Amino acid sequence: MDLSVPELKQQIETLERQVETLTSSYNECLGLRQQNGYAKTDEKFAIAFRSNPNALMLSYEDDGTIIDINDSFVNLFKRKRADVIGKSALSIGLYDDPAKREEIIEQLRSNGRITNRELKLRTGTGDERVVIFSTEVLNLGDRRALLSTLQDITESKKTEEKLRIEHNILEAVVNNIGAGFVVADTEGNILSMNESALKIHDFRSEEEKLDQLHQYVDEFEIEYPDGTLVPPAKWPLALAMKGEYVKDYRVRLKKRNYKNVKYISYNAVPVHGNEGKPMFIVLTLTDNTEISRRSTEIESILSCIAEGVVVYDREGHIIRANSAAENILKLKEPDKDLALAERVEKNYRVWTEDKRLLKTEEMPAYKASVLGETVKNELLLIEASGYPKWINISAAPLIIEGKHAGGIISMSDVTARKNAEQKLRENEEKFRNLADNIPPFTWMADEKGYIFWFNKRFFEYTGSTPEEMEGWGWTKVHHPDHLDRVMKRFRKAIETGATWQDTFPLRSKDGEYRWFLSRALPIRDQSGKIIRWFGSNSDVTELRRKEDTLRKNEQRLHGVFNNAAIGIVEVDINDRMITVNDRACGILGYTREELIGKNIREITSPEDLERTNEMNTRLHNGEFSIFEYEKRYVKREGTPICVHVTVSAVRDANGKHLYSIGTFDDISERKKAEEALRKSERLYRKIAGDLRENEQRLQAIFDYAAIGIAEVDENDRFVEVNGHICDILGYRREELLQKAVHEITYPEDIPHSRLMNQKLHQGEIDLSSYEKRYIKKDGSLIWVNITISAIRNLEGRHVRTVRTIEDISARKKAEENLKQSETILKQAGFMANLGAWVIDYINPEEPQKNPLIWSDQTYRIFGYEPGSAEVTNDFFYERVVPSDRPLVRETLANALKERKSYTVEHRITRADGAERKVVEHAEITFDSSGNPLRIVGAVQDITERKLEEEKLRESEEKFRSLFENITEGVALHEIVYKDGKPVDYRIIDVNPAFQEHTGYDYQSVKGRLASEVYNSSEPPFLQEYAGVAESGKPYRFNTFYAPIGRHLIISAISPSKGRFATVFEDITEQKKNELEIKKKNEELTRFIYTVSHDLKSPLVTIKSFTAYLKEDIAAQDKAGQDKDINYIQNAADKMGKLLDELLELSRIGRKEKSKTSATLRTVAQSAIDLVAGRLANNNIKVEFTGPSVMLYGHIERFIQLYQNLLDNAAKFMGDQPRPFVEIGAFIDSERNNEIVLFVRDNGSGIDPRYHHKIFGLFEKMDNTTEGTGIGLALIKRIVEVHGGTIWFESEGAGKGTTFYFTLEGTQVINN
Amino acid sequence: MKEGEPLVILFIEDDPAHAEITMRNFKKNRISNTVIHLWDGQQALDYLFRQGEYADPEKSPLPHLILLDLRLPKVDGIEVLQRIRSNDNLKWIPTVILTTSEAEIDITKAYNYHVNSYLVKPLDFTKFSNLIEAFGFYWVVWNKFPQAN
Repeated sequence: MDLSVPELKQQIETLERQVETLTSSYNECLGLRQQNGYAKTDEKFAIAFRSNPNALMLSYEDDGTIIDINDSFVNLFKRKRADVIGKSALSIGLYDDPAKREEIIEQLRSNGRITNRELKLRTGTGDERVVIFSTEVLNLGDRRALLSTLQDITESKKTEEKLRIEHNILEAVVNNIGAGFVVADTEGNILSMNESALKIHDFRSEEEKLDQLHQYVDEFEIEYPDGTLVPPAKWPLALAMKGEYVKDYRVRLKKRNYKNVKYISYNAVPVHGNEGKPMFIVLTLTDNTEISRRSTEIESILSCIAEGVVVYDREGHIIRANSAAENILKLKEPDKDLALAERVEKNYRVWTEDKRLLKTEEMPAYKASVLGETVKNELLLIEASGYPKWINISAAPLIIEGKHAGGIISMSDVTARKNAEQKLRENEEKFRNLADNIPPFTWMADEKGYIFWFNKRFFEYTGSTPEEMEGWGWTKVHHPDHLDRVMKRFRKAIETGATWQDTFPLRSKDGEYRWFLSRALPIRDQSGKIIRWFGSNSDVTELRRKEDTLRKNEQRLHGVFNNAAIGIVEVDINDRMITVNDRACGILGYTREELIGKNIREITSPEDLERTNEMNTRLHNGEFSIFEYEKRYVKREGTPICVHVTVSAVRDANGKHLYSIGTFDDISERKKAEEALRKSERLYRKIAGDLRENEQRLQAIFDYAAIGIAEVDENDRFVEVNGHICDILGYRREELLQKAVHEITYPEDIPHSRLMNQKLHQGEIDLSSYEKRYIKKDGSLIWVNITISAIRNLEGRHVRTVRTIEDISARKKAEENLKQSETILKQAGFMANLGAWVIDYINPEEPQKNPLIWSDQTYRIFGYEPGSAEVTNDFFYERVVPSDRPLVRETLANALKERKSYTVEHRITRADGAERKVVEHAEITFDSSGNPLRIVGAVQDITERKLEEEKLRESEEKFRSLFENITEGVALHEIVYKDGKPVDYRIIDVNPAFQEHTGYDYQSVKGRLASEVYNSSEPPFLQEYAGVAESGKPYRFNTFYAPIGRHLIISAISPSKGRFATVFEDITEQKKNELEIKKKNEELTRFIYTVSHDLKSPLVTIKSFTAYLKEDIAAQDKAGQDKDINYIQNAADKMGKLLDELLELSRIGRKEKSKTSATLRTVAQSAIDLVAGRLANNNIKVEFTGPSVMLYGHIERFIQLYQNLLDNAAKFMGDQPRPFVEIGAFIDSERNNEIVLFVRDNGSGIDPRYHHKIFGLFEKMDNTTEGTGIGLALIKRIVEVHGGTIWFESEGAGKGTTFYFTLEGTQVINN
Repeated sequence: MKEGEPLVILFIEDDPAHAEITMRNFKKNRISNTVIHLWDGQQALDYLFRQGEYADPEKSPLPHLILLDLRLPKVDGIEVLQRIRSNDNLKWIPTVILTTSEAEIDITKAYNYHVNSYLVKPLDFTKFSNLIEAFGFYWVVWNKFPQAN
């Protein structure tokens, strides 16, 4: 029998009532018997007594003798009436404890009755029974009897016992479980609450409990989850008081003026009484604070991070997704039944990074949930509208309780970063590509001169690797003989910050040394501090080779002089020897050192002294400028030798004797003439020396880094190959020489090769460079970069080509490897390394003391084992890099003030000391009055991403500044297509050097169309450039850019499809130098020619007529003798003059006095004075016209120049009746406003047929005119030495001549 | 040319001394043919192309042999040679260069324009004399000329 406590109570009450009824009915019976007759009453009593369901016993008070018992008693106590009646209760062992009877009797005597006393009695069988015992005293005659009612409560007692235990357990449980119980009545009186309820309300003990609902309303606030207040009428208890059932009523409970918020779920049940009215109310309070906090945290983290998170089951149905994920994936409600991968597929076309369309089974969602794989990837999602989106995605299987339950995906929209990165990468690639491909080697060093980057060409040339070359590794490819000097100078430049320039050999990978002109310039930051150095090395080997050839020529000639059989001495006006040649030393038996400074008289035989003195004096006095005679010198050992001496005086423009040149030979030698020839060669040597001097000053030129070299004839056959090309192609030299180029060219590449060859052949281009494949001897293919330059013969016909071939297969392979490792890197790549943290903002006065909690991953991000450190705000800030701390604090303070979420990037120091970069997103929860409650944050390690970005940015910046500072003009273009055909190109970017090379303002051409800029319907080289942009194959050619008169090498390369860059190398200077060298070589040839012809000519005459003279003397033919002597004299004079003038010519430009200024008028007047006689004789008038100008230079030379021009004019005046010469100057607008000087005559003019010969050495128009024909050559040399040019105009014979020339430094005098 | 007809030699030399030496040597070696001496390249061309004063073929007969110096005023020897060789009427005329120049470039050029012989004036008088003698023998005695057209 299970009875609850109230039921039990009820039963007891019922029992009591029964006893009462029974007693009263008994007493009634007694009364009846007394009044109406006993029998009837007795019978009634007997029936009542016997049939009573309770056990009844009638006994005497004094001895306890039992008078009667009823049937219930018999049943209950298992005793027969006969065994009991007449016996005392004690004797039959009814009482468990006999003392109890004494107590009962005692109690009866004092109270008169006993009600509801619990007693333990024994049955006839000895069992124990618990009864409720009530007894009344009856008077049976004179003896007091007791009527006892005994109700068996043994079972009830057992149940009660059980219930008590249960109650105790329940109570303990109620007081100890989280749920709070509150019992209230319908009036709002709080009757009781358990421990949990007290705790929830923050009551410390039962005494603090409030008793009325309205008191709670005053003391507490209840808020809906959204923060709005719950009005008191809607409080759960209030609702229950109105009879409503309250179920899972989620609110936030907060004590006024107390921060701590509880998340409570209320259940309230009104307990109804009999009339259907609620009697009291039971409230159950479930404290969800922890769970709510956690879920809020997760919600906050999920919502405050940009990271989208989707969790889905094995079928792909989404279990949950945060808003970021929904935004990113644009998941649509109607597709709910589809699997995630399909839903994504429905909205997007998904591409991989390597531009492959993703299949369903390759989707990360599919892989994670179905295949159980972990995937990290960056994918390109393209909407139906075409809008692209880059997603960084990590997908992993969702494991719940060890079972594979589906997948979890975290993703972020990285489009902006991707785009920025892409752009940056493109830029970086673009500039790197440019830098790598421009022909000169380029490199960059840090401020300490540590070289951290070389361009590709450098490595290609040296065959080295970046690792070998980094820093000071470049010393390995330097020539040991030059290294010390190079290092010294380079270090000095780095120290001083001065631009560095040096020329030195570098070893190529074949071990060949080529010469490079190298420069480095410092790049400074805004404060002027040097941050980097840019350097370049240009191959000047070819130039040096040319110089070398020249030097060899010179040496050869020098050798000729040294072997010359004629002695030459230069003698000053005091007859002391200044210079002597080897032969002079040889003849005289002295060393050079002994001779120099010696007076000529010291080596003259005493017999000839007088004559020598006389001749020299006369020469000095100007009686003649040349003389020759035979005399005797005394050799060092004392023996006299007979010599034939020719002495000529060298005079200045005023005729002053400066020094003399003497040539002599041992006339016993029959080789006099040949010696004279060599004498002139000696002179040549001086001139050649002068040329050398100039050449050393020549600037360097570029050349292409040549590796394999082959010479190919016009029939495409190899005629010469170097060792390297044999190595590249695997052929022996002899085999290769049997081959034609097309035989070893990969068939696909033949058409292009043909095209390029044709262009070369037709002279369209001089140089082409492209990539092609050769077939090696073993049949394998090899990629090469080939540079072909045409060699043309004198008529410009293309006869041969020289090819330089670079093996680029290694490069091609490296490119592939790079791509591969990049892919691997990406796959290993980006981890969504995300940690979480929470600050409970319970202590606004001391925010530092607010508790901070980290997630496991946060610990890991900070380098700690999860839970291994006690985390506080101070602990966190100590981990933040000191310089970033203010930023973090301020960002948080600001967010608190403005009540918003925040994001902050900062650096931290990990437990192991490593510095990492993290980004934190945090969301702050505020209460209804705006006080912060909690901050939930997500922290992500972005070090790798940032580093990569930083590196890329830095690299981009470096290459951009290289682009800005490089001396080569670079322009980037994009091809413009129309109907699929290239029609134009747009200038995207150009660097400052571009302006220098092309003359176009580099800022204003950006973004414009080439056709517009160059003002032509088809912009220059469109087809070629379009080819480069499409094929990616570089193209290189020489061109002359007329608008600004520059020679350019244009290299076109393609950094990406549809785009191309042009690199301009200004080779104008090189061209000029080349031209100059060519001119000098011509001059050289001219001198050799002069030596072999013009100087020889008089010698032939002298020789022959000396012989005739001898014959005529023998024949005593006087007339013949005179004639012979006359010829000899003329020839000797002529030779003397030639020598003089050659000397003069060679002196121009060296050993000059310093430059000074003089007016044209002064200079010309001095010249006029010098030729006054001749002018007067020819009746020539001289006029000055034009502005006054000031000349700057060697004034003596200028006078000489005008003197020669005037002389020339006088000489060729012809039959002009009114001869005049006009001297003047004008500003020539066609020559950049240069001042042009001129000398104009109205004489006989120059036949156009002979114009080309005018300035030649020893060219004479006419044998009848005087002079050697050196005048104009001299003039030209003077002009050239002064940085000018000279030309003339003459319409022909009889039309007069005007000589025009420019002189550097000429200025108009402004009065 | 016809048998017995005197050989006409056109001799172009600007240097009077050299002209004298050469002429003397001609005489000495009894090269008794008609030697027409001209002074510069322009004159030579005028003569050969019958310009100006040389218009009359009687007075200015086409030479059988040309002895040409290289370095000449106005028009140099190479150009004269070139003009001779590029003219159908003249190109057959044997042309010999006689010059002081030993320059390789001159020699190459001359042969490029099909000179028949290139002689360098020796410094030594005897050698000069021997050269002219040999020249005389070779061209006047031994050499066969084509019949006149």
